[in-house]
Amino acid sequence: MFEYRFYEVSASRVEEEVDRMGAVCFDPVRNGRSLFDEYGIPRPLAEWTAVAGARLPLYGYLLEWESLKQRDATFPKFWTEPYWHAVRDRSDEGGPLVERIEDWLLAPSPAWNRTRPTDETRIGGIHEMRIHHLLAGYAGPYTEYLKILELPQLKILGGTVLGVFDVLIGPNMPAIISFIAWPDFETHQFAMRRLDLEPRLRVQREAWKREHGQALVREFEQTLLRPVPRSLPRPNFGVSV
Amino acid sequence: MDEYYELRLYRCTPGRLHDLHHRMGYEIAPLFARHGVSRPLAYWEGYAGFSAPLYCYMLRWTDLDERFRAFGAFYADPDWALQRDASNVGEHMVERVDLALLRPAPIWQEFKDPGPPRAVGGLHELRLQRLNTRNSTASLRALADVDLPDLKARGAQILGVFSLWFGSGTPLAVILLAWPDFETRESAIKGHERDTKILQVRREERCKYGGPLAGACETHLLLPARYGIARTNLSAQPESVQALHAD
Repeated sequence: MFEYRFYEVSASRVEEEVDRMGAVCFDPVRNGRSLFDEYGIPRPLAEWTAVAGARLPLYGYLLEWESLKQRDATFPKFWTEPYWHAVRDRSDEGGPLVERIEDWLLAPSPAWNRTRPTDETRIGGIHEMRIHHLLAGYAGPYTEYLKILELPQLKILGGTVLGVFDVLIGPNMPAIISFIAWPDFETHQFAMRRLDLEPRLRVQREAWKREHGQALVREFEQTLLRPVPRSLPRPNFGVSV
Repeated sequence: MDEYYELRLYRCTPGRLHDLHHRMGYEIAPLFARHGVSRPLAYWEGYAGFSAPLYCYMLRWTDLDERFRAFGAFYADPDWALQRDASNVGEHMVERVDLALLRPAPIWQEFKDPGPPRAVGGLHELRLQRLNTRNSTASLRALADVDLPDLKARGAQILGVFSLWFGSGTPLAVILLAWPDFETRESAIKGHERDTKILQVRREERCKYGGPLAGACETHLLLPARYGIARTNLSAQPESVQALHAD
């Protein structure tokens, strides 16, 4: 089970939020361990701040849990930790540093090919979060489309698929999220332009319209992310099959 | 003279952005001219944000009643319906439209380019910045005193600063910036958000006004379309280009 948390941060303060997260997740606090380590909360598979998108500033991170039982036995205990409260109160002076929290539950999508063994490589560059909001009842054919057409095409254009997830709990469902890494902004922009012109994708969209009377995607949201250097993800987020 | 700006954001149907460029950059000009819609000040495309792929352009008006008359006449023109259906070929090019009417913010004056109008290339950035509902004047002042001078010093050119007049989410500041390239913007944003003086100002603002002066910001990175690149101070496009488009 994956927990994707992203925060709408108070204006100009996203780096403060990165530091505040560092203070509880990474910095040694007691016995050489961070608070997250002490409470048994896994390190994030990746952390990001947003380059562009609908609601900035934004800070987000992705956690992997063995089970929700494990999650609920650990994370809520941390929320009562006095050291964390002191850190939070200090940064919330005059107004909260985090103004709104999104907390979604995700599961790996069948479109996500994880057969390539993960290694210790760390993937920087610019990351892209693509949220596909689908017509209810059509997640199956859209997953096939992602697997066979869109994701391979993004790879050809220079992208690296970090992960693809079905949203299990979240707004505006059904929805699929894909995270793609790009070597740089220019490669991403060029790829998007090419993708829009790709004839095979167009043929697929026309086929959907013939078959279902409309496109399968109701809304599409794209957010460009910069990975936080201390948590650059491994290939496939380090998640093996 | 009254001055209004119109910001038009289109979420393009996937696969149709190229056709939409052709329509907006080349086909539509004579029909716009026929009905008194003056040539747009600039056109962009964007792939990062809420409505990707995004197509965007801006217009300038001196009379809003005239604006509604002009667009009404344009939409009623049978030649527009013919042109639209011919280029749509059975599929709308635009899936969603967000329109906003803006007025120039008084603080824009402080950032106007003193030189003769010229096209500004590079990477453009559109910010739709929510303001504190009780203190929107102080919010704009903070933009003028703190944020915009800092971004300018870090390499941004300020193309325009507006207040939302009609549209979604008022009070809203609409800011149009130009950066030489993506990397300059990245280091500027990083520097801005690590600047201890700015963070101190933010703390003072929160304490003084009972909360932050600025709220969430919808941010688009925009690539200027070569047939109408924004000019300094969003000045009108030159006549010679207009003639080209009237062909």
